[in-house]
Amino acid sequence: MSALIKASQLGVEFPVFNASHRSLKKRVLNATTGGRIASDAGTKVSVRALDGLNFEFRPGDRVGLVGHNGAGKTTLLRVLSGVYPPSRGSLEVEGRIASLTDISVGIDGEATGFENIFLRGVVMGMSQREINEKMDEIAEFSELGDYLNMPVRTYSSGMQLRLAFSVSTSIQADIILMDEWLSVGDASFNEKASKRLQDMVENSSILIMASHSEDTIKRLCNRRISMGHGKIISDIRVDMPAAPSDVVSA
Amino acid sequence: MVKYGVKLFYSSVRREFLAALRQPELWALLAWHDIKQRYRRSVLGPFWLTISTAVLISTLGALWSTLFKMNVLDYLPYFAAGNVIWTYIALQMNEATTGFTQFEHLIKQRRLPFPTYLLRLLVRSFIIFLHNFLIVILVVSFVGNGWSWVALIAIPGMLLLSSILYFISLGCAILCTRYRDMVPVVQNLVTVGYFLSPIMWKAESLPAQHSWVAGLNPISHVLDIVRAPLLGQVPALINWLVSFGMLAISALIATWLLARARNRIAYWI
Repeated sequence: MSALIKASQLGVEFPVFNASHRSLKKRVLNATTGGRIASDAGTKVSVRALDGLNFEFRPGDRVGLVGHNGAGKTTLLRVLSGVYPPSRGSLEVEGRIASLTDISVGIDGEATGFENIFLRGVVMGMSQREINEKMDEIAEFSELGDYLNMPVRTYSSGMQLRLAFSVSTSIQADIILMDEWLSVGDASFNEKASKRLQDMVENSSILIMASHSEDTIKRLCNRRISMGHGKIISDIRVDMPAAPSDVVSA
Repeated sequence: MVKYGVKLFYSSVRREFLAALRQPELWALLAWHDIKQRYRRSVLGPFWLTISTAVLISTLGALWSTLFKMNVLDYLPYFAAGNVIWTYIALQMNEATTGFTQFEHLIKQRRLPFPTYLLRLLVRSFIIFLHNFLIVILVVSFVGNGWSWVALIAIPGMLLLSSILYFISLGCAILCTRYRDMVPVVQNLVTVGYFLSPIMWKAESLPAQHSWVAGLNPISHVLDIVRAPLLGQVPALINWLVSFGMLAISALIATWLLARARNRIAYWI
């Protein structure tokens, strides 16, 4: 198991489409009128969300991303998960990725709890066999019991989150992407959940977590990247207060 | 120079197609779930589609055969088979106009092979086709000439038709995601296609000077590789040739479009 993330001059630009850019008519007119209205249809407006990022994450790295809203943290997480291919520069990713940025994606209110374990598992990238193997463990951890045979829309929002969390954290991954530390359920469940998430992180090689909480970053990360306006402002190694985990050699 | 995702994110279109085929849980099972989902609280479930298609075919069948002065016993199996096949094609094409946008939440969460989304739609359309096919079975058994071994040719015919349909819908989904104006264009083409193809009328009943409408229309050839065997006739060689030609062209265009668009689709949604 080797995990690696390497980016050089990584940039992401979002094209901003309005009706006239998306219209085929404009494109056709543009072609037939010899560019007379080129100034309208040809100029592309785009927002540069990430700009010239250079970094390398190796096994053992626990990266905390900090920065204001709009600094590019979430976009960076999405680029790393493969959703947005970079529009500039290069990115190399090795290892199995688990994205915990939105753990409710794939959950279907009309389907039962058991069906949703399957649906969410597929979205997380598990095979059918893998899900079947883990089904019992997930069901037990969620503490939902007979509710798992009921449609998820009958659950309270806390129970829905518990289900989504139980599935999402059952996967073995080399790289974990997280948008804020997940906290779910009531006090007792949250303690148990926190422990499970901690285990998952310790079994992975690389963690990348965006957070606004300095405490969380101090507690869990050994590298702190501060972002602003789509650029990296600082990238410093910090010591974790707790004993460093031994996953580095994994 | 953009170098990207060497191992993880499908370095070529070919790999992306292979990755899609290797993970049937991403389309076959999810499509099955979609169908179950849609009819969860209904007693008859997807058989409502069968019923509404049956109503449509029996009323229109009676109407057209009277209007066109044709023998209803001969016309009804022809119309039923053609209509059920066309419903499959039209459903897939109309779904394809939102082939990527309807899965926005998934596409923005995880990089799954893009061909899987259209495979999921195709399986969905095919399941509905099977429900409608019940009518063809009933009509051919009790109204038409009954079944012969020739009907088995419809199986490879259906495979070929589905492959063509898959590639065309994939290309269509890409274009409709980039150019939103394409959505109503495709929907209108599908409506017009129904009337311009020999489904409710027969190619041989066209006046000689207009018979090119059926001959030049590739849809009529692709329809016949499935419909003719069901009615006990062997499809003509030209039908197979045109269909294989369609497969080659649609596969080439779809692959080319996907190669160009696959790094942009997430941005277009």
